[in-house]
Amino acid sequence: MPDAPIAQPFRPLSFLLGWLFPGLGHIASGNVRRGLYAMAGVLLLFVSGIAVGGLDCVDRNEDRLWFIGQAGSGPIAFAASYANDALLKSGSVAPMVEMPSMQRGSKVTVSSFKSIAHANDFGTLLVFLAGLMNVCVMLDAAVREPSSDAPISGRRAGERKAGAA
Amino acid sequence: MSRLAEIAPSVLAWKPFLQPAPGVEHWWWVLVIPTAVGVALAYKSTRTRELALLPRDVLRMSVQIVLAMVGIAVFLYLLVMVLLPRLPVE
Repeated sequence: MPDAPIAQPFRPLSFLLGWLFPGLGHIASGNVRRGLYAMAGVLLLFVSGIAVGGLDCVDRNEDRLWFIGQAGSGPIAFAASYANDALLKSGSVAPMVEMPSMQRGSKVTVSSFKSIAHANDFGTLLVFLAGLMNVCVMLDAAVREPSSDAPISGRRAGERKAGAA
Repeated sequence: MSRLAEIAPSVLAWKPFLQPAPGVEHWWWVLVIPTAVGVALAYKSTRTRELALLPRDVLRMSVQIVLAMVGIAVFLYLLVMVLLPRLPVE
């Protein structure tokens, strides 16, 4: 049976650092390995999402509800959305193409790199999950005991064995 | 093989992170695996007490997620394709 968790006061600085970059809250409070693992998990989701769906799957203007969750990843989500505007929607890296519009007579142009269907679905979902998981990581960083990463051995392991018996 | 040959030119022309990955509509279901591993790694990094056990915990949770997704897919397939068509129309 696991040890009872020790209640820790909420530390807003660790929470904020965890939002600035995934895992940074843990690293700043001395839980370096745990922070690196959390960073790897969140970035795996985020980078996979961008790789599958392209930059277009992070869009704070057209996909605002999705972006609320994606913003949990921190400034990297805002940077991706800004890059989407600056690179794709401006037409600087790919030609713009005309699309059928719902309104008669109006013309809509979109980037030829715009993602659709499964690519957009999975890309958006992966980046969204990165944001949600980073919120979990931020909350853990805010309440976790500082420098508590060390392997359980010696006296603490002896206490655990005594408690289990 | 023909499908691979079909998407090969677009793979060669692919600009990663700028445009969507080519051919995703053919292998989208494989993406369940990185999704499961990413969620498990981020979650277990906060929940595992002993970090030496993290790889085992991540592997176990990833397999659980993938199996659960497959189970839900099978259930929904049977529901939609087998059970619902047998219900009386009226």
